Amino acid sequence: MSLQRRCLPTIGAVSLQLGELEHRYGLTSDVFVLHDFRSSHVDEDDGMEWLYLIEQLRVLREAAVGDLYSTGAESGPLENQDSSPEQFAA
Amino acid sequence: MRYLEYEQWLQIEHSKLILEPLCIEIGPLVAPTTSPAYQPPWNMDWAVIFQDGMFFVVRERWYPRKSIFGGGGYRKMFSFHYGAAAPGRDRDGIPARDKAYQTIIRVDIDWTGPHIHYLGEDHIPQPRVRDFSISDADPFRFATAVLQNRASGTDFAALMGFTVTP
Repeated sequence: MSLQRRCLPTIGAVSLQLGELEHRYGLTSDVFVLHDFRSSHVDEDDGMEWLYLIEQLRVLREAAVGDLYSTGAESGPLENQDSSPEQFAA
Repeated sequence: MRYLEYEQWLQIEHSKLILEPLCIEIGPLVAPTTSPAYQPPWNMDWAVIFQDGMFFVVRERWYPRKSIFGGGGYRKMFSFHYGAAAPGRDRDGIPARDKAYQTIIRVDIDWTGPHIHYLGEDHIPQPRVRDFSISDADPFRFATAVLQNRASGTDFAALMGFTVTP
């Protein structure tokens, strides 16, 4: 199989994935990060994904804010960018 | 490392690997956070499910590195897992982790730090793993070790060059 890019993440999609993890473990992301994650019983892969999604959301929000405040920007908020998957030959 | 460098490296290394016939391969799936700037974080997931119900999955999570350290991304967390595949699948079709299914070897860096799972023992920390730097573990060397183990039965400690101390 060849290398394949997933769709670009959006703030909405990342938030939804975070919500699924929060629901599954009955923890908010704040509690997971600030209080519980070192001693929690969250599966290692889920925990890794959880922390990654939080970081991804942070970056997406910063980029969206940057777009709002920039002048003469050619692109809109990240949610409006092309999110079509791209396939690459290995 | 920059995202496009990483993607190029993945393509080159992936193309060198010869998998067993009739296995099911998922990925490598990569996900930049932005385009065309390809700002970190980015992730990679790749799995191979073998005919005998075993599988390996490789997951990497790359985070932004401060510009004073060169910018780009660095691999903050990863897990390389080989074991029996549970019937459940995640959204990519990769077998979901189920601790009821045997783990043969797992090499990890998560929030608990570098460790391995091996020979039925969980969370063996780096200080007990000699001659192998967990932080520098390479997904393709891991995949190669899995294929060699399956072909020859040679244990992973010998294939990957580590010793677990008491």
